[in-house]
Amino acid sequence: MSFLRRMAPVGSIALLTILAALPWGLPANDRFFLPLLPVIAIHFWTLRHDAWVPEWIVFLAGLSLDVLTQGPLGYWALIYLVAHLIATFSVPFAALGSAPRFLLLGIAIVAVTIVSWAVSSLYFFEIADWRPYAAGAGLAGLSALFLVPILHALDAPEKTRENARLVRGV
Amino acid sequence: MRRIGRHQALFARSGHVAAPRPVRLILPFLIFLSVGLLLLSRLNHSALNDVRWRLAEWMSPALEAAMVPLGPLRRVGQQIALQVDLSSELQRLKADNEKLSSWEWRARTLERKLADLEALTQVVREPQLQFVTGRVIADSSGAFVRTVIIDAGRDQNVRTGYPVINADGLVGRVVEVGADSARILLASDLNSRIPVAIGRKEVRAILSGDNGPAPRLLFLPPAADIAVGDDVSTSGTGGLFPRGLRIGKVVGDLAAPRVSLRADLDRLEYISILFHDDPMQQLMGEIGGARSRGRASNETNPGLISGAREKR
Repeated sequence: MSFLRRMAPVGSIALLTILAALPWGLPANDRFFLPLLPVIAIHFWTLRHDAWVPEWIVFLAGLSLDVLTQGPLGYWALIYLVAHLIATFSVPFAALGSAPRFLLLGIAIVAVTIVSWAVSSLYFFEIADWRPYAAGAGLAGLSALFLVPILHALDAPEKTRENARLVRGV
Repeated sequence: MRRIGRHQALFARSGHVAAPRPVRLILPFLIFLSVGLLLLSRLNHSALNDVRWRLAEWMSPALEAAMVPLGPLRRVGQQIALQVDLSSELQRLKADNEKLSSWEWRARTLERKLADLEALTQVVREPQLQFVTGRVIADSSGAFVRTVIIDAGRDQNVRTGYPVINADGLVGRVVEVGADSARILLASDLNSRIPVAIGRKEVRAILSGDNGPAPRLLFLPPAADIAVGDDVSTSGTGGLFPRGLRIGKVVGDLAAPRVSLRADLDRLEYISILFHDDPMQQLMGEIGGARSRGRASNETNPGLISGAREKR
């Protein structure tokens, strides 16, 4: 496995985490999908049996987002770990093909959104407005349509060198 | 083997799914750690806030680097939005320009009169505020807070508490300062409280953010004479904000009035930090300094006190 392929999971999660904190000029209630972008990457890479996505990297990505967004420490770390856990349990079903994988991703986004809404409601001790979360989940689902092919390209198998042949006895 | 691994479905028996990947012990530990941090954040632990800001400051170069490609992207987006409503914007600007031309003449006349009156009554002149302009490098608007991080900090003489404005009006105030970055608490944040004056009668109230787009007006006097559309500006009460910074207009139900902010807090790009020191803090600092100097001189020269007593 090449170095680039090995670092692709961590690199893409880190990049999407930074992108989630950048000022995109979006209304505050439309920004809820941005922190869900790393969730797409976490889910995608955790389903790959040979991708290097250790739990502590997921935790650090969430913690970095908490630091950059000045939200409560541990919030996104917890949400991303939940996303990782969901993906871990989804691994057996991922082998069924591309369509089930997309369905699993959709279910993961919805589940993570519900957890994030529940945790923020618990944090404030009041029921948080669910609409921005729902809109965020919808936008994250749409973003996945663009993001997954890019991640898939990063996951491309290494090209075998031209003229490489198997030689008996070597 | 690698290819087979990627297409396991082809080799799977009908209806067969493999066992899930085992959950490593570190995962529940990290979840427990996250919940612990969340609880500490809820309790607003001061040490945690300090560590968080230090980390954010440390990560600000990464954000600045990421802003480089984002800048042109944002400008393209703004250009598209501008082109879409260009004709209506042009009509509005023409009407505004006509109105402002007459207002300009009137303002100049009033300015001259005011200067004459001030000279006549020997009014202490308000100091001209210095400022520095910074670029927004991170936006943390979400479920919890409404803050932005800018690329100007202590090295640019930015201090905690300084008011922040843009071309349209008040944006918020500085709450944390690093060497080259600072965190701005926006006027719409849950923790933002700004003393304001409303309308021509300058009715006093507190502008209180609630993480929504239009902050609430609290502590209005009973039967306050305000109307929808009244201008809202800083009152200067408390000294944290200078008097007269434009904020917005009164909107909504007058039983629970809100303020539509002039500054578009969702699309901040460049903002200016006014070097306005709280006069109360300055005064208290000077009094405290004078006291400590007096105590120190007495301590170093105790003969002064005994000598004074002897003279009496």
